[in-house]
Amino acid sequence: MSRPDVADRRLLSVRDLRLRVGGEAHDVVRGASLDAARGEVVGIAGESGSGKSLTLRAIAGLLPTGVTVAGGDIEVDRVDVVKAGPQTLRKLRGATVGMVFQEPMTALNPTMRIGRQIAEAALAHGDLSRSQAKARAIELLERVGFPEPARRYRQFPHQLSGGMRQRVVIAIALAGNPSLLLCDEPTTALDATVTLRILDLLTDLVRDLGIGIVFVTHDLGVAARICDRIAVMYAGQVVEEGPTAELLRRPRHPYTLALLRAVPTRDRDIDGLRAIPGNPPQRGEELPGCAFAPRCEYAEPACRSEIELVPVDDDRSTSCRRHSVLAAMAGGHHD
Amino acid sequence: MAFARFFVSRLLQAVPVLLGVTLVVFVLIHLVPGDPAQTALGPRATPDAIDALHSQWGLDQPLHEQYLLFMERLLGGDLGTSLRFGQSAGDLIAARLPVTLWLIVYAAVLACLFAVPLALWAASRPAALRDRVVRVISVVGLGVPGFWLGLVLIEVVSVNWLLLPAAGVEPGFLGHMESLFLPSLTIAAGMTPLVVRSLRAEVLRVTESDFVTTARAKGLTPHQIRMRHLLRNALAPSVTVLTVNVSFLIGGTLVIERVFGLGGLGDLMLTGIDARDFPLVQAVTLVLAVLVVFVNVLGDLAQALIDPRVEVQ
Amino acid sequence: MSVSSSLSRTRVASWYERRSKRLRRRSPRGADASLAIGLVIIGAMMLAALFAGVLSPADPTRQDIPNALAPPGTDGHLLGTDALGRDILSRLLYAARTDLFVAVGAVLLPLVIGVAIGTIAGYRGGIVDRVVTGVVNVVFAFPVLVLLIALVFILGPGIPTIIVAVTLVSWVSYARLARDLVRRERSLDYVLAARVSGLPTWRILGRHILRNIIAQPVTFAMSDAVAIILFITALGFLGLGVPPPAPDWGTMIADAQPYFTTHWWLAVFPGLAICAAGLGLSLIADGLSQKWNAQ
Repeated sequence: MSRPDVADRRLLSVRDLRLRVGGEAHDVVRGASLDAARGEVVGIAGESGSGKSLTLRAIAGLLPTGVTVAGGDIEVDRVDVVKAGPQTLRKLRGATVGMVFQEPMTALNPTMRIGRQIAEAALAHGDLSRSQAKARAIELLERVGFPEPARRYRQFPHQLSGGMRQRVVIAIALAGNPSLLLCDEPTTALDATVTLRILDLLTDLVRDLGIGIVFVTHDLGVAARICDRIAVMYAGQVVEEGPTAELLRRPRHPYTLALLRAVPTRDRDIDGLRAIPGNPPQRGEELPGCAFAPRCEYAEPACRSEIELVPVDDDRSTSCRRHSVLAAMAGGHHD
Repeated sequence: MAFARFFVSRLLQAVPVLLGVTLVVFVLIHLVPGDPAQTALGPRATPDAIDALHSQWGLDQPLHEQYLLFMERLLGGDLGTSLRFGQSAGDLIAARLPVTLWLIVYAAVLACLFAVPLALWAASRPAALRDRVVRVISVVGLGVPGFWLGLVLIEVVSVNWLLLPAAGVEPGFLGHMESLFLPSLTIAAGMTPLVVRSLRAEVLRVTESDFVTTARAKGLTPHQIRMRHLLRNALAPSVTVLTVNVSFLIGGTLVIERVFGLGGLGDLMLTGIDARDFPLVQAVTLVLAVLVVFVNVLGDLAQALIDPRVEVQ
Repeated sequence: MSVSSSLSRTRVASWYERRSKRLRRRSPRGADASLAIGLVIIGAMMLAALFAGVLSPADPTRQDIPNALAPPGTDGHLLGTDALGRDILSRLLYAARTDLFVAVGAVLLPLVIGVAIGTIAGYRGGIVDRVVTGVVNVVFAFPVLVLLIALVFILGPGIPTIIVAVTLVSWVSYARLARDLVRRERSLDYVLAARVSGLPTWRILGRHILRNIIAQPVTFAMSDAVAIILFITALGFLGLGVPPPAPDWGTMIADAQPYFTTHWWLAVFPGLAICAAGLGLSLIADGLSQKWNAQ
């Protein structure tokens, strides 16, 4: 899974991450691995409950109370996040890692002017004076697409539309000049046209600033548009990972295939949509082997014993032991 | 300016409520079983005296005329004439209002001094020991009758320890601070459990907001997060909690004034009741209700100053 | 593949959110303990009030001047006697009868009336709603105890008067609560479905809406009961309570005021009785509201 060509641009490496909720013996995220480099957008796709958002939050050391790292390593720009103390984490946040959230309304402080919220983030790390921080905030507002940024500086979040609020959140995330941007479903709360503009903005930022992005989404359409690579998560594990075009065109995991079949497209009308049979595993359920096996039409008894993410083709990996069957199948060619 | 516009519109909103308040106070006297004049003057009153009172109160006129007359006098600043004192009720109230206001503000300040730290302390570790301790305090405190607590405090602090005056008001600012301490403490003790509870919930709600996560993601220190993000957002709901409880506060002063013999509005109202002085009781009731409406308007204004979203709504 | 496509169009709360909610639901810490202790206290007091006739060592109104102001533990007077030589324990028991009876009435009546008015206002909307909301706002403008005292004074003393006065003052809280809940409930799909299917209004209100909203007003009634007990005894203390010779905790404290320094038991025992009732009700309210929050 390590790619030598990007080794020197490597920003993030997550290895066998396990996350635990409360004191329970069962993990929500069960051995997830992920890499990201500068100039690259890596997507984490999956249904709600797959553990994708928690994985993202773990990278910034911002797990919700009650969720703890039970195992594995996270390395961001050579900093070990799992072992880092509060001081190190605080320096990492903002300066190395910026974060964009799902709900731009609630992610902004309703009683503080948006300019100050951005300036505050710039002040947190750089050696800026107050007026320099203000100038930086105005510059960032312009960068994320605000006309008349100096006037907008004084506005409050409730005076902005959803899309503009999300731009402010992005500006805050950029304020400390981070090299990695973590996006947690940043377009889910927005409507389709606004989504497109935000995605374009993020793409521009990757190109112009050379930052890396980890982009969590449940929407394969959005992932297809912005991501260079996609990791598909199911029940707390990465089940397949690879370059976007390859992965979507020739899925090497039945779950990815099932996800694609559940997506409406221009060629396929509603009747062609297929729901995935069964339900995701319940919490606390013992899951030896492949978690998807109970719902999988290709499953064989051995699938229920053990699984492993193994490289296939060039630059791809899957956890499905029957991936060759998928590859051989004509139906494996999607669309 | 937007704020001025908000202020005026909020005042206008209070007008129908104030009208309703005058209507209720006006109706009070018609709820008296039998003839209020007879009741007020007692069984030995002469028919002439009763007739005189009838025409003075306007009871000999049709109901709507009576209300118009009542309103006309009210708008002219006439709150009626006390039977017991033979004096304008407005003057009597004006003379006693300062003590009551002192008591209200003093008690509110004390209640905040207790409630705010307790609520913050409890909310800092929800469901932990400290949270449960605060909850027990508020559950137990809620059921203690203020008038009894006042008597116990007088007994222990004033009589046994000889520390603070047991009754009456000393002149001057320091005199007020000293002599009104025990009564205010008694009222604050009753109010604190109510405030702590709502405040704890509000602080918790703000602490769990997404923007706090954003602030953490910026790399701010916990102290910066508290001062810049939590405080102001927790302040607005706290103001609401306080204004909601002002009605309770005023009710409390009424009884506590009697316990400590303070001679404020509550004492005046009870004196009026003992003397079956209907106009005086009506006037005090009206003034206290107007006070509540006024405090609520002030609370909304404070809200608008703290939270930029309020003006828009 | 179009951008607007998505796996799940409805936004589902993420897994850990749902989970933490479930965690909270499972263990509303101490809710059951609060409820149990509260019920035991109030139950015991209710029983004591009910069997006051059997439990009282003496007639609560019988005066015995030679034995006045006897300290607790005196022969035949476990808690001592008051200034007129009446047995304090017996008076406490009979006072429990009056005060708890008045409290039950003064809690139930506003609950029923307030919820009924609020439900109608919330469901009908329009002019009915505006009138009810207006009246509610006006009553809320008065400090509770002030209006209560004024009403009891105007209506004259007596148990029915107190209950009526409390009802006139406190129905508004229930009306406002029920109105808001019903308005929210009315727009839900199941109510619309019931309306479309032609169910009569009273069936929709009774069967569907009321059943779903009633928990909150009832929980509020328990916390209101704490305030009501304090109000009733405060009225007694101010001399506006139940007329003598029927004993009442508030009146007992008022009568004891001049003797506090020299004969503490006159005022301390009735005060503790009020505290116990207040604590019991407060615990029940706390337990109920925690259970309610957990849902």
